[in-house]
Amino acid sequence: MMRTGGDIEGILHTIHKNLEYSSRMSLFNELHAWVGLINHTLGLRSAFENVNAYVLRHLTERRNSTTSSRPDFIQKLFELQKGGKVDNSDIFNIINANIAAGSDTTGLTLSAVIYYLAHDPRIVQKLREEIDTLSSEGKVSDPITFAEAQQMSYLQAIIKETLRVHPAVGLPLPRVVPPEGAELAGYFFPGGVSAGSFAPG
Amino acid sequence: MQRVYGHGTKFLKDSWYRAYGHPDDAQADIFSVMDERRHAANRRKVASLFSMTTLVSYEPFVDACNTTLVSKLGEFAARGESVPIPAWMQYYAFDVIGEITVCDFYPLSMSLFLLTNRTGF
Repeated sequence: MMRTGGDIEGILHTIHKNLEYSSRMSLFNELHAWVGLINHTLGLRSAFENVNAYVLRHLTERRNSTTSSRPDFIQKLFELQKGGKVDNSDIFNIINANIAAGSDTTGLTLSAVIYYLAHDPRIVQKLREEIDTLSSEGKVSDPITFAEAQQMSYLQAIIKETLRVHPAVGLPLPRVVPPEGAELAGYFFPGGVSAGSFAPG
Repeated sequence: MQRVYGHGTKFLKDSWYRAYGHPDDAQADIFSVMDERRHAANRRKVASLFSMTTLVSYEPFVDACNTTLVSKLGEFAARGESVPIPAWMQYYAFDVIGEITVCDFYPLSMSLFLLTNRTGF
């Protein structure tokens, strides 16, 4: 998408629209199966049609390729399939899950980091100093490797603090309290009740 | 947190999750699947793909995307234009996931597809 400077095949649009649907439908989740049934009966297109097409195209291409041995997810999944550990539908679902769910939270967090950096030049200055110091000590390469970045304490602090003040997942991800009830964060919840962790709160 | 969300938890997923998955429960993905045993089975299948050593092996793909991003930001700077950061951060994140998952050299893969014109796999 960076190369073309925009959404490819409406994939991001689809992902966003589906998230909107799901976050509303989760309040009436019993209706979701009915929506699916109606869609199917009327022969309407799948909500993820373009994402599915994108994934299928890549899978088809790789199946037909005799030379590619790129160490990516598809290749590793094909190897697992040879060992009988996954089947075609597993492969499709896993690749699909990555494509559909893999970019939103990262993109949001990166935007938040840049926002906070832009709003406080002192942070940028301190980060630059960290990079310059490590660079002069020969402790970082160009580009900085993952292992080296793990040792950059101020960078790690920026990332963690951004995740704290601007968590990308604003959903409560609710769980059902087991029948015997439970005490969470100092409050007692009876069994059967839904409890979740609302990160931005 | 570990108690509620961790491995082997007694706190099962609320039906809230159903709205995030396929309407047919039998085809639920790993995020929305509510049955703990099915989730564990799904997780076992893909655990090796997300291990630390495997993730670190994807570093060259991330580096390639970083180079592209920096160069694109440079183009904006050269034109004196402001960058729509949220959009570009998502393009970047998508490109990284695309590279490590399916090899997303878009123009190349599209032309190959048109050449072979195969369907189904």
